Amino acid sequence: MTAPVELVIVERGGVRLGVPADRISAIDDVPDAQRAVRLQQQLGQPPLGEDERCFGLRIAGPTGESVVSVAGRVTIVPVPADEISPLPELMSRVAPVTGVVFGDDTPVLVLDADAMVVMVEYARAGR
Amino acid sequence: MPMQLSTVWVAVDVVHVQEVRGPTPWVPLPGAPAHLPGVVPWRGRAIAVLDLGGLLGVAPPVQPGDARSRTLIAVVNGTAFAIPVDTVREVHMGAQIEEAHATQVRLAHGQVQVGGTVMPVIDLSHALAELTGADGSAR
Repeated sequence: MTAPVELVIVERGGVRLGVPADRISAIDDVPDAQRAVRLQQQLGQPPLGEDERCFGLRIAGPTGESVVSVAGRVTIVPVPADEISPLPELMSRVAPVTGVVFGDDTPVLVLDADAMVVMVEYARAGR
Repeated sequence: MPMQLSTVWVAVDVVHVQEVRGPTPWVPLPGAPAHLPGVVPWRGRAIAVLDLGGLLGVAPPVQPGDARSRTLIAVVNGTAFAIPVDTVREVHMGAQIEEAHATQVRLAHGQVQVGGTVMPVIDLSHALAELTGADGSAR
């Protein structure tokens, strides 16, 4: 077993998304005005319910800090690095997913923080 | 090796086949190409699911919650993938591949007759080239 990697896991609707915790500087409540563009919507999940709590993952990047809105249950879980299976080269264009943690009832899709920011900023800009 | 995709029988060169598994749940990936919709674990890594029936247009698209009864693990040019199928028959060594095409199935490079059934032989290298755009038709 290799050294664990801490993942911030966001679970909603039977899908678990994982983001390396070392890329997230803070997790905040999201104001109503920013609830419209969420990561999970970009990944094909249903729209946000009115009673769903929404969080912002603050991610530091080369051009400053970005906030990616997510909904669902948020936990931080250590995962042995060798349990993260990278995507095959054949699927390397499936951003922002870079790997999968199998071995559980609900596998975790591991996301690349930078690609995630690009995806959400792109959607936020209405493109 | 003959295999059934929905109601259609096709064959693939057994040289590519590494393993035949039972029903194997797979993990869907958002934004994945239509015919490579997800991944399964194999030998400690993730390999792509190839929806061969959908690619050939002979079966409905595979669904994540509906694992088919067999999963073929194939390796083509060093790339491993998992092909969900409905039935697999025993390997027929030395089967004669005829040049004539009994069907109009895409990506077939001939046909074989197995147990009285004529079926197209699918060229998995060609399928892989099409999916990766190596043949100039990226999907």
